[in-house]
Amino acid sequence: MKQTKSKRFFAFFILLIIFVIFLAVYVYSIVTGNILEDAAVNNIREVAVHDRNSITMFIEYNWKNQQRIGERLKRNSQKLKTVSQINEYLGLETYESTFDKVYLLMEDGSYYTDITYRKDSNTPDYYPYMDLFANTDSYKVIGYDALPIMGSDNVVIYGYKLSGCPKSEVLSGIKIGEDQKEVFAVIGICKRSTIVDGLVIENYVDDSGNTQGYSSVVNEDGEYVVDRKDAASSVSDNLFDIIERCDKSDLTPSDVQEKMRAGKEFWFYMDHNGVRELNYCAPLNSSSVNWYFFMSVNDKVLKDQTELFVLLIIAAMSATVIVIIIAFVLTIIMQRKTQIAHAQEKAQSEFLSNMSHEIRTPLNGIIGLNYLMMNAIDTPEKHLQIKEWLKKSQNTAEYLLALINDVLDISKLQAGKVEIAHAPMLVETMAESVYSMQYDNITGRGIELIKDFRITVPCIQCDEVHIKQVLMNIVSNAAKFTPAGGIIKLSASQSMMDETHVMTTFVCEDTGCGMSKEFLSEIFNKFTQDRNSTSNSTKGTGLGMAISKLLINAMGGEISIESELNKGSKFTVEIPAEICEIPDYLKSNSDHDAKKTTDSSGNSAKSMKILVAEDNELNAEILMEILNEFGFIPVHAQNGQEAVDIFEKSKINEFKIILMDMRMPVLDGCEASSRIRKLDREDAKTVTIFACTANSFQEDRIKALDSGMNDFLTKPIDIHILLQKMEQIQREKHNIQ
Amino acid sequence: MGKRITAFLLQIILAVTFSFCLAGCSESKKTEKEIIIKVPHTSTMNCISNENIKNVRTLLELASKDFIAQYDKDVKIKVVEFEGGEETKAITNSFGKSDAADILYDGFFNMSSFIHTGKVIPIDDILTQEMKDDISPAYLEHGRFNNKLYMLPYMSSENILIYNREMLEKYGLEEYIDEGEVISNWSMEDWTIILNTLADQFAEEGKGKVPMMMYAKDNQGDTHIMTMLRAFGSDLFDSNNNFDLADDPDVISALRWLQNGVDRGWYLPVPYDKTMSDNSSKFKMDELTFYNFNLGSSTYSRVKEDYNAETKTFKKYGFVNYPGNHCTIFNEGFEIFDNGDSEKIEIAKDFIRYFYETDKWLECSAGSIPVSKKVMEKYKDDILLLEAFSHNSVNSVDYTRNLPNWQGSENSVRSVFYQEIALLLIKDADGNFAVTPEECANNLQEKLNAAISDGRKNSILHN
Repeated sequence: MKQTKSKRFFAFFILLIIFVIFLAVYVYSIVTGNILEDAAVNNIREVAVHDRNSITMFIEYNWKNQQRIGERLKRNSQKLKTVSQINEYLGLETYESTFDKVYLLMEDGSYYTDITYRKDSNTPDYYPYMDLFANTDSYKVIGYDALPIMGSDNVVIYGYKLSGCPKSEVLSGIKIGEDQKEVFAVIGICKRSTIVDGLVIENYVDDSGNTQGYSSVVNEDGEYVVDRKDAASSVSDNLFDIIERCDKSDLTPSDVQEKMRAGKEFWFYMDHNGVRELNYCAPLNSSSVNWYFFMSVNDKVLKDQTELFVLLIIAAMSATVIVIIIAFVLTIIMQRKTQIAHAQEKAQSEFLSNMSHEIRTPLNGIIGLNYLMMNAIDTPEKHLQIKEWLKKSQNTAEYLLALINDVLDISKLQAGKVEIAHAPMLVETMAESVYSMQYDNITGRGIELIKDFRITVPCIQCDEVHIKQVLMNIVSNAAKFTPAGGIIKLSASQSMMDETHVMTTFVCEDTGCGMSKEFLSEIFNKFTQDRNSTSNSTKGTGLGMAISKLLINAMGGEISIESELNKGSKFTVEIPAEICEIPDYLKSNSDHDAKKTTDSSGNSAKSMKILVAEDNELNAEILMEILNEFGFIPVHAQNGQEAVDIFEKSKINEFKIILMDMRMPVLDGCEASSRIRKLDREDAKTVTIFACTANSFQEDRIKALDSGMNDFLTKPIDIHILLQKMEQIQREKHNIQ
Repeated sequence: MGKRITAFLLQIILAVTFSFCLAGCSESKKTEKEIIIKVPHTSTMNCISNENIKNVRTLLELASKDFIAQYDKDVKIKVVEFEGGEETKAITNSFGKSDAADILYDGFFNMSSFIHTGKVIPIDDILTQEMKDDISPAYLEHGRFNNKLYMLPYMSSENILIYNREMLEKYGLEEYIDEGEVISNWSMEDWTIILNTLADQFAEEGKGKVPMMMYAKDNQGDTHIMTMLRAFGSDLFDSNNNFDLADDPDVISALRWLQNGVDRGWYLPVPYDKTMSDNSSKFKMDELTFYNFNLGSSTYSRVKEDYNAETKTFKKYGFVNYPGNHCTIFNEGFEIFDNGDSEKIEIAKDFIRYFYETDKWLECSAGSIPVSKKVMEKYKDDILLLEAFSHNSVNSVDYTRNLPNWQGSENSVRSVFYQEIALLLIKDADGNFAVTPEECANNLQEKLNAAISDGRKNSILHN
């Protein structure tokens, strides 16, 4: 529970950090966006200033150009009598000037062009240029869309008054043509693109090539002098009217007019048909006109300019944040791994400490008993006591052996070196075997043992030895922790998983002392024994359940425990397995094996000479004594080389069996075996060599077999297993012969 | 725990990614295929089957609407107009952009350059047997390059000269006037007499009238001027489709004849700084005698008013081929561009096929010269001068030969030509021309062939 709370807090903490970081990124991006937008606005202002200066310079230049045209006209007016002469004169003026067309507007509204003379409105393509000067006494510039004589081009018309103009008095009174009419003004026409091409604002085009901004020039009444060509301009040709009719504007028309008249530079936003425009207004830097430069830029331009930067910043920040989070998480993971490593180290240390304690305790017991027995061996009245001590010593030694075996099992299981066999197993036979083996042990304690086997699939592919090991461990545990008068029930059942697989479930229930919840959660850990239970007198290695779980998991199964203190425990082992047919050799298995074993222990051992290669004197003596007792004739060799020598000197088939210790001085067991197999004598290849070692690792087995040994015996040698293996080898040899 | 955090982070990343995907998907779902048809602003029409259609833009907008209504796919068609002469900006500069043209309707001499960009797809597969039978092979041939059809003709304009017959009559030149729906052919001697007579008389009048159109300020109308280089019999090209001008005495004669017109007062003053529009304006004011004309011209309505159906004569106007008795065929039609979307190409083809297979749209070509035989047959009696133009087609010249780099770059044929003609017409203060006819021929040959050579080098044809 505590751990779950810790995990929740940790997750919450992580989420909080992520939230705070993203909040910071969000705020940062907004602030950055505002800064960038200001920068973009300033950029647009620079563009506007450039455009304003361009337009001002262009207009000023054209005024001067027209003034020069007027001056030249005054000098040449006497030569200009016919229409043809005037056309040609204007043709040359046009060619030399910056204008696309240069006209001369006469006092009666007629005008000469470079190609003709347009007298009045009855003349094709006549334009009333005189109207330009309705509200001015000097200059005039207007924008005009698609002037007929200029095709479809938008034009800007410059009017420069000669007649009666206070700024060009010297140019008054110029008369030309047959009827000597006075020239009223010089008209210069140029394509609007001539101005527009020089305006940076044309760079604000979208992907479709549509301009996103317009420059224009308005007078103080809001009338467009150089007009804008967009949707708004179709509404009206007056700026104030457009502002009045727009969807929304930060400034009213009167606000704008007031600011313009005050000669101020200012900004405001205006919405047209859903398009938001940033408008910049500033007076033209021209001494000759009281006009204002006006630029409208689609708000999208600002967004386009800032969004990319903001996106890049957000992306960079996000990437940084992600890296920080990942680094943070990795740090935590590493920290936790370190903690786990420390815990494992601690556990290892505790394990060694436990091991030390667990091994020392029985050893001390054995040593103590041996001491007592040595002191009492010459006292006949203590022979019964000695017998009791021997029994205890035997039990303690067996416990010590079991402990070592369990530790080795754990080690192998954790290293993944335990091979799980897949051989046919008679389920009920195996369960019966466990039941039988534990029957005396349990009933001898005054406990009732009940079996309930409901086997539907008799034979399955599995590892019988290890399953039996697990069940024996569980049932023996139950026996240990169940007081006299209690009940232990061993049951087995099966359920089909699919057509070819069956789940076999073994359950061992007892009415014993049960387990505390705390212990239950630790039961599969190593060296775990419930010290609080009433089983202080019982003795176990504390590794059994850990081994059992590892084994069952290795088989793909599960082991679970339900327990209640003082009421009992229930162990459930579920093993999935493939269904198989019962092989012939299993059909009468147990009787046959028992008979053979008996035979082998009785007859076949008689007078058999066994070469025992063992460097440890005590072990050798014990083994020699045991073999003697079973009727063998053992011959001792103190190392591998001596074993080779003895065998080499022996008669053919003198030794039927060699028990070869793996680790010996001078020459180890493997090398000795290898040399024996290479000897040039007929029994060199046939003599049975058993490897004897305290190690039971797979690589030792492989090494032993590779060196020519026949089989493997784990120390301390179990004489019954030796006899069984000898019998098996003899049978195999017999079959071969 | 570590796994859970990793899983949590992965979930966030997946959620964000998924959201973006969803946004992307929803965006893509919204996008219907949009076909962009581009058409020049100058594509006016005198459509007699539907008087509401005054230009190609309107025609294509109406046809698009009907096409979409009957089409089984969800499409949008946008007809975009661009300024005449702005083909480079409207077409070439928009390649790869969202406003790139999928279909272009324009004159073949403008469109032919785009064939060499590799973007125009061959459209032989559009032609059904019915269309092949209906469209005159000569028109189809104008749309081919390397035996593949890149431009599908819709209607044709035959360019000739219209003249103010009243001016000829006034100054005793009646003998050159043919009555009725006739396109005259005059010898070069006749032309010289007529232009000199008129120029002399106009100068005497002093009203600013001139007899002959001439312009060299920009590339508009340059092909008409180029046609006049054939006046003395030159074909302009050699067998390899390169300009062959420098050593051709007929070309030198034509250039000299044109240059002589400046001295003789045939043209508007300062002709090198005049545009076709200037000349058009002058003609409309009855101050210019000869000007360009075809059935799509704005002058056509005046011609119809001038025609006396009873006497089958014209009072004010007459018609003549360009000096040298040539006319130019100005085909208009469609090109389809490959913008990397095969689905759009198929829709564009379906639209063009629909357009040609639907009589009411095909018949709108009647007004100019329809390329469809059945339309021509149906409307031949309703279109004034149609028969005359039809008979006159034997005098037509293929002036572009679909050569690459005809226009669209700074050194294209059209960019170079008008500037060299301007130099031919310029006189300095001492009255000397800037270049002689021989120098002009040399310069033209060198620069025009360089333009074509560049075009050939850079030509990429769509596979």
